[in-house]
Amino acid sequence: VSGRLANRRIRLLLAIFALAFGGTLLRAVWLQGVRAQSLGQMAAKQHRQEVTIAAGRGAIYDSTGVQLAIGEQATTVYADPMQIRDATTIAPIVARLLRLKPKGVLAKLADRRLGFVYIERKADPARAAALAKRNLTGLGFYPEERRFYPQHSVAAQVLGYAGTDNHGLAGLELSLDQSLAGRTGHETLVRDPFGHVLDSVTSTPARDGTDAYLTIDHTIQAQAETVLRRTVQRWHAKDGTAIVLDPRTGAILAMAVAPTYDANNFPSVRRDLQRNRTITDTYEPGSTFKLVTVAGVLSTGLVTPRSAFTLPYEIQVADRRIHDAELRGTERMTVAEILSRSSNVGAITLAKLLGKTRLLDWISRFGFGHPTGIDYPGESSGILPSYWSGSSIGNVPIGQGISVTPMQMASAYAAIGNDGLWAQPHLIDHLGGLPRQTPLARRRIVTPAIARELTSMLKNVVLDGTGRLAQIPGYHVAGKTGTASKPDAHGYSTSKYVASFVGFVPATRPRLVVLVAVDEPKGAIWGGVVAAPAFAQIAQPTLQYLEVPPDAPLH
Amino acid sequence: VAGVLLAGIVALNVALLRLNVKLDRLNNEREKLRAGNAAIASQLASAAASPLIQNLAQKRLGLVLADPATTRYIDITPRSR
Repeated sequence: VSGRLANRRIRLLLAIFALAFGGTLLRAVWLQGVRAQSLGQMAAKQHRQEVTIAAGRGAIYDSTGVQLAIGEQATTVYADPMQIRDATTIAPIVARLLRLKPKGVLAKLADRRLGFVYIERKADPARAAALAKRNLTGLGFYPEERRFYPQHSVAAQVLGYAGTDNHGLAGLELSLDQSLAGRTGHETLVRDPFGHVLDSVTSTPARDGTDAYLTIDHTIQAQAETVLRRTVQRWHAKDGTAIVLDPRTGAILAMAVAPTYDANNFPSVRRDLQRNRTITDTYEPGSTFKLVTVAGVLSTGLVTPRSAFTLPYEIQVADRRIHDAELRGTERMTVAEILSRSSNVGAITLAKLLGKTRLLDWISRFGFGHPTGIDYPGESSGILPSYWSGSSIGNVPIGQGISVTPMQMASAYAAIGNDGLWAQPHLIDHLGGLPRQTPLARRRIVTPAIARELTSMLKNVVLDGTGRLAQIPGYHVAGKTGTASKPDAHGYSTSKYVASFVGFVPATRPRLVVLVAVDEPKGAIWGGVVAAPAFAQIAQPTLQYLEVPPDAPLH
Repeated sequence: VAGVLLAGIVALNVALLRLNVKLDRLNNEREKLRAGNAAIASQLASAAASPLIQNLAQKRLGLVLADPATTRYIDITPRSR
């Protein structure tokens, strides 16, 4: 009996083992066969991680190799509110270490409906590291690149800015975004439960962005900005613009706008301050525009610089009476004197000789009404008169009823300084190690002989005319003042003006063209008083910095 | 023989895992070095700004820019005989 019982127990045990084995086998078949794919996917989700490798954004350098915009490492701090145990205790710690408002941090951490919230994008890495040391559950960190402008306000409007996602949103950062941004990489990693990488399954490396090299020189730029800021403050003006360019090549050495701002604080800066007004905004140029008429009458052979005209103080043009700025009797003036004394009546007399069609041709030939083609986004073409009335021949030659950008005006004078050859203004010297891809446009506006005659006349403006305050000891300066009344709802304002001066130096072999335009100065309105001294203050140290030898005796 | 081969495969896998863990650690280190390098580069760029140097030179040492009018240029081109 006991032997039979033992056999039965053995068989029962065998059956139990067989059942258990069978069950395990079935389970194994179920898991490895039927559910293999879904379970495999779940495992892959847990162990594998798709990682995007951010490409480093290219730096922007000035012409001397100093960095104007670079990428620096920052740490983004995020949280999973569902994992935060006590938001009221953690929030003050996070806020104190990251220097954020505790109320805002608490609101983010306490919202348990969310599984992910940013506490701070691109936080200071040292502060984020201090927070990471606390090992607070529910907080996470990852590195991100942050755009940094080490020169702060220098060339802020020119550079523009890159946003939180490291993509250009304005200025050169926007126009060069494709080159600067590079290409992001991707990697599939297998991690262990502790987060250590066990294997890299697939990998496409990131390609860093290309560096951009500008023609701007940060020393000249800073000098131009300082002088412009002081000028705007001195005359309680609304704003001001200044351009420094090399007339031989069209390379822009400085492009200043006042008031300016720290490029690192761009989100808190008013949008209108962020505009590069030298390119995007237009103004009625006033007397600096007389150059076009004079160039036209000289080039067509209608007059010579010594041709004289009897000019009254006032002239009737259709329904308008236009007079010179300073009260005088009827005088005889040469063409050179018309320019140096900035006679409105004289310029209109010359324009009448030239006629509407030829005047419009010369305006177009100097590049007004067309974008200069500068490598900067948002360039304005300026505004030419849409309707030519009887009085237009009285307005346009003296720079009224026509709007130009400071860039157009500077490049027109640069052409005269470059023996009559216009060179396309440009900001970008080259990208990466490659030379410039697109050739720069050049075109002849006037003959070298006419350019020399115009230069001689413009020298007289500074020597003995309205631009005396633009004189620089040791250098011959050629330039022209402009004082333009601003248009308003009732015609032209009697209290709002744009004072400007544009010229080149040394006049015998020009190396610099400098334009200064001051919007709505108070106390004085004249270009020769407000803008001409700023021209000299920008040009004089720049000539010294560039080691340009003088072309005139010092005394 | 099968046991030896099995042990060899296990040892190879362990070595591969160790290598990957080391690679991960080195990658992290590289990222840290890159971050440090970028931070130093930005400090250097700020410090190299000529307006800042000018300002410091004026404040600390009382240096000012030379008056351009006092600069003399010497013509060193050989004169024709």
